[in-house]
Amino acid sequence: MSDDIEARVRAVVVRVAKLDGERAGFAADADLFRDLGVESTVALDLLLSLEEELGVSIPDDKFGDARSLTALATLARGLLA
Amino acid sequence: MKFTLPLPKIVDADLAADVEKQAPYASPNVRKLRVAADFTSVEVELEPGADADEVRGKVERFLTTMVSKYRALERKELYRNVRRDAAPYETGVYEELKRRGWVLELGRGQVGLAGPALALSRTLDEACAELGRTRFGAAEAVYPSLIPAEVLGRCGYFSSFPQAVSLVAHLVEDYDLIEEFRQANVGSPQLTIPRAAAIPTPEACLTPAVCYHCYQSLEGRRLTSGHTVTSNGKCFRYESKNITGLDRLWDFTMREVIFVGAEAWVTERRQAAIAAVLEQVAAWDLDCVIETANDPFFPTVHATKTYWQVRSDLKFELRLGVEPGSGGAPRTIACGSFNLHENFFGKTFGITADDGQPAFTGCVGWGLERWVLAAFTQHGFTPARWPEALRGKIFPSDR
Repeated sequence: MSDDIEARVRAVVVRVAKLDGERAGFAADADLFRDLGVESTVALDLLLSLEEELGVSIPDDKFGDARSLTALATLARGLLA
Repeated sequence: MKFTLPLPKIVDADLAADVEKQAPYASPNVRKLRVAADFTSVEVELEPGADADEVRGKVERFLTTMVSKYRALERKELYRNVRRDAAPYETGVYEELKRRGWVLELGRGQVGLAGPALALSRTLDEACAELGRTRFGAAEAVYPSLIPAEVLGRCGYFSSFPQAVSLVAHLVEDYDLIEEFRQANVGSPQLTIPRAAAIPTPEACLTPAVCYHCYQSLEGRRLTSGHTVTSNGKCFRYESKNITGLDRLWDFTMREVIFVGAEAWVTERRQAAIAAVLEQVAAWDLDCVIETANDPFFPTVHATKTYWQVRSDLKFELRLGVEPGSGGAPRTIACGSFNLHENFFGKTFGITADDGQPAFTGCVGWGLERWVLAAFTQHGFTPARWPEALRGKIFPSDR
């Protein structure tokens, strides 16, 4: 399910991981680090940027398990509920 | 001369230790930096004659990059061994080793070993090699102390640990410049480099770890099964003002067992290695703890790289008890590590694992001089106190 939360999370991922052009439309279930080649050093910036965008505190263990856009959006929805 | 600076935010003990360890690289005029007990500020002690404003600016930038983005994560203690030897830790061990001629201090962070200290280092090294061969089927290899700068660059060393690099310089092949250098150094014990142009950009470095050569040697290979290598070598990490006794050398000796293969296999091998090393520690009767750790990344990449490394359980350190520091608090030093690198080296060197994917890698390392320090600290200089597994080899006349 694609919704506003997923769109906001995607926008953050695209900006922080610098996924330009065609890569901005990456598959929602792709592993950001393994499949999309996002550098591991981006993880912390991604976490901090998502917290700022969504206005929530994201537990590190849950963030660590959420490696795709779908998983991040699901996590975000749970934290915003 | 001293000044105090507030930290951008309150830090935890792990970050405080890293800040203190990295501070010498902020400026050569920082003599010492200490994080306050309440973790809200630092006290900076300067070298004589330093420009305080210039140093303050550098330290502020250093602290901002190191602290602002840092995210504290829970550090796990995985295992602990408590020694049976009831005697207190020996004190003044390094000085006593030097007095006996078992440690030869030959330069800053450069020592030789002799007598029982050498025997202990060799015994531990052979035990670790044996562990690699018999428990993990490791093939032995010997690698150079030099490593091409280009290889170290591909390994990401310059972007993660530039402060620790030891570059190998030679004079440019130029008759006039070499003669100028020769004349400048005739009759002088101090090295003089008359012109910077005499030193070309280094093509080699002194290797900071044993395992990089192993990955390089497998470049382009398609493995048909997990690949295990053990090697012993000299390693070089410039530690600036942190250089201390046997605790922190510039030139030290490391035994490694290196795993290259599919992800699940490498992960399982690391776990098996932890269990095997714990057996060693028990046989050698040493107080130790194995816990989550991070590498000493340069401040500007410290937060991001530490976060990933700790969060992903990529590094565990084996820490052995040594004599307390000046404050009297118990102290341990990292004597071994159990590392995973994910598929970074597999991708970098085009190594394919038996599952068809870029190979994952892991390694176990033993820093031998630190083991020597810890073992003499915990067992002292009376042979009868030493565990049977070591005594006869370290003090042969006591057999």
